[in-house]
Amino acid sequence: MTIAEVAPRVAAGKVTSEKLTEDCLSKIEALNPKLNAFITVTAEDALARARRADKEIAGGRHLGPLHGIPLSLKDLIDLKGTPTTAGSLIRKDHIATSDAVVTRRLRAAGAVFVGKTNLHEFAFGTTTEDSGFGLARNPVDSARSPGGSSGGSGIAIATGMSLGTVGTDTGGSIRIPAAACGIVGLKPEWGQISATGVVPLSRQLDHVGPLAASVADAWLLYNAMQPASTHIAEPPEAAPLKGLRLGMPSGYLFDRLDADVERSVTTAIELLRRKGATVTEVALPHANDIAAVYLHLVFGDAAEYHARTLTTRPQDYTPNVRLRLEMARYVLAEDYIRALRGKAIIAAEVDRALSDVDAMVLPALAIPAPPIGAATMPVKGGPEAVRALMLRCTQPFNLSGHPAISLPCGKTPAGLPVGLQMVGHKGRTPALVQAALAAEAVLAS
Amino acid sequence: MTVGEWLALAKADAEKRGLPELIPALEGLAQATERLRAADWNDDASAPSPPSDEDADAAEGERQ
Repeated sequence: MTIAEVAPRVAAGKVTSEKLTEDCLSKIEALNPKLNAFITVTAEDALARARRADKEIAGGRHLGPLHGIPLSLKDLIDLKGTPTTAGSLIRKDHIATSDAVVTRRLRAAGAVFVGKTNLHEFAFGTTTEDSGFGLARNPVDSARSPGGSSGGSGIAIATGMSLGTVGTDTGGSIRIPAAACGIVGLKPEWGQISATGVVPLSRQLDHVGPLAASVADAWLLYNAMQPASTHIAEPPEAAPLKGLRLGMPSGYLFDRLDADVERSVTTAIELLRRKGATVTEVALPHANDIAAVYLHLVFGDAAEYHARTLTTRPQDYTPNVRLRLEMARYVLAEDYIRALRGKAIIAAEVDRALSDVDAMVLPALAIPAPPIGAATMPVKGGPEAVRALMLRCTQPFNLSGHPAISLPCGKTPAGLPVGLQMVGHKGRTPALVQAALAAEAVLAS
Repeated sequence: MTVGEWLALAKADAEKRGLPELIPALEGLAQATERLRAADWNDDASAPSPPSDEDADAAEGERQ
């Protein structure tokens, strides 16, 4: 069930927010013990707000498509009166004293919050295996990771535990779980959605954005999280596929893929081409330097943020995240500066790659959801570290800041979801959504 | 300092702090740092300055 489908029925009084919220809470009660998608469930408050929403709607005061819709928030995002744990025992006693800006905007749109979702500790990972509140499991195959760091959010949407959710994305943490769980994840352009009230990993790379069951739902959430003055009243229409110019980045972003992922993504792109899109090759000349640039920037930023607690309470971190944070503290300033220059160069190259196309198309995730505990996965060219593979296709657009979306484009023979990533121009996130709507309509059929 | 020198110091520090499990991770970081330092955008204090935008425009004009 999508928000776009159910919202008119809520507005018409044919289904109540209370019923929708009860359904989500029932799913949480049934599935969360196994999948561990939620750290905090705010059942009482959610039902109270749902009943209030129903009264408002019945009284003729309908706020819009999100009014009465049950949503969740990645547990990096403040929800007043509840803990923001960041998936860590470092913050287990924390209570948010105010809503994050995005929370406030979604509340103003009438949304109801059912709880806070599990994540890779402090967003510093891509599998949601390292959380102070236990690992999370993929709903398609519970022996596998749901991706991360917004893994709990991905599970929540894939299972209907909430109808929409807000995550964060520093190297891929919205798009990776979206691909791994078979749903949609939108990383808007950097800075478009406020990160005030969101625990940072790397402020220059952090993006806040929605995960949802459809591109249209992702749009509804994205639109509502903007300042009210910039809201777009009408949802965008799908771009016509005929004449849509797509760029396929050659080399690095396609050369270390799982065979099934490659097949699904290239088949999807070929289908878009047959339906009228033009597909041309584009290049990112410094693509092979992306991982090194990203690593030095995220390490430098994370080391600063965690310096105090690494010294005073190292034992309260999960061991793997602690190790990476300790490693981060050894990055030299001169190498951080080198990485900053690399970031600017990569951003310019993504701009140039997009100059004659409407969007880039590539995989969102180089591998299907990996087994929990896997250190390496087999890909074209030989086995590779899971961490590197999880970030490979998404981190370029955290460095560059361009808007990017992952949407389902097929499944492996084992039934594991595969995500297609589309990357748009800066200043034109709505146009990217329009292209994604067009692609989604074709790929869903 | 060179990456080799940095790695030696970092490993010694990790040992001193009782974190030997950091050492393989530091070796991985060292490889990434080597890559970063080899990138063609890095500064070289002995190299000539790159052409200014004005010079580039003038050169373009001459070619035309």
